[in-house]
Amino acid sequence: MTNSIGIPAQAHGVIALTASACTSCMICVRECPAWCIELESHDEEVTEPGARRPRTVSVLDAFTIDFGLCMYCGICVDLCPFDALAWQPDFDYAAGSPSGLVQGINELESWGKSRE
Amino acid sequence: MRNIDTALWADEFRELLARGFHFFDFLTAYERDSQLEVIARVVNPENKQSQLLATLIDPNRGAVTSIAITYRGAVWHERETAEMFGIYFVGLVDERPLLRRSLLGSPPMLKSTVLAARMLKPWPGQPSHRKQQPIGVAEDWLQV
Repeated sequence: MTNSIGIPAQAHGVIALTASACTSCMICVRECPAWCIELESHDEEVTEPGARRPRTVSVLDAFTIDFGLCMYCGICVDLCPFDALAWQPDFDYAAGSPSGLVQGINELESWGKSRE
Repeated sequence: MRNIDTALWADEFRELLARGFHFFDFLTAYERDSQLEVIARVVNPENKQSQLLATLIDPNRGAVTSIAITYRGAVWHERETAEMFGIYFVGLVDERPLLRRSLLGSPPMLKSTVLAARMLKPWPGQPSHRKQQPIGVAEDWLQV
């Protein structure tokens, strides 16, 4: 399957994030050879009905990928145990300055949404 | 991939050119178990066959004969490999660096070289409750 200009759907264009699937386990951050992923999270206690004691869950506060440093190796996508990271064929995200290549949760979540 | 004795490296390529391998594809190096290996590939355009050759560089000499006399296109690759891995290509006519302003300091592609970016930027994966060594940095790596 290709898009209108012939780029295959599985092309390594950009890395998209599904924040709801991320458990803030930090595997991607630690394994990234380019050190281009940064993650911030905090712990919250969740009491579920019927549970004996509250459960501690990590809540994602910030997640950034610096595409100026990323070398598109895909190790983060391969290693994520929860499939929170995935390749999308989008490539049109050039920026006028290096800081413009740093994408946060909102931008990373937007990739691939229009094709769903 | 065929392993070639470093002393026979240039001869092997002369022979391959004579056998019709006219197209030079690439030359690079690889750090295998702290020993450097030079790798090069040539293609025979007639039958589309290719040859991938490798030679382990003696760490005491750190040199291999240039194949740029046989394959002119290898000059760029050898210049790049020389400045990135610190390998000396004997007989290389052009020794100007391609990307580095100066060849002083340790070659950036060696695993033992700590890149300036690794000293300046804190590791984003550092756990908050204990010290952990980042993956892929030298054992005595220290953040200044």
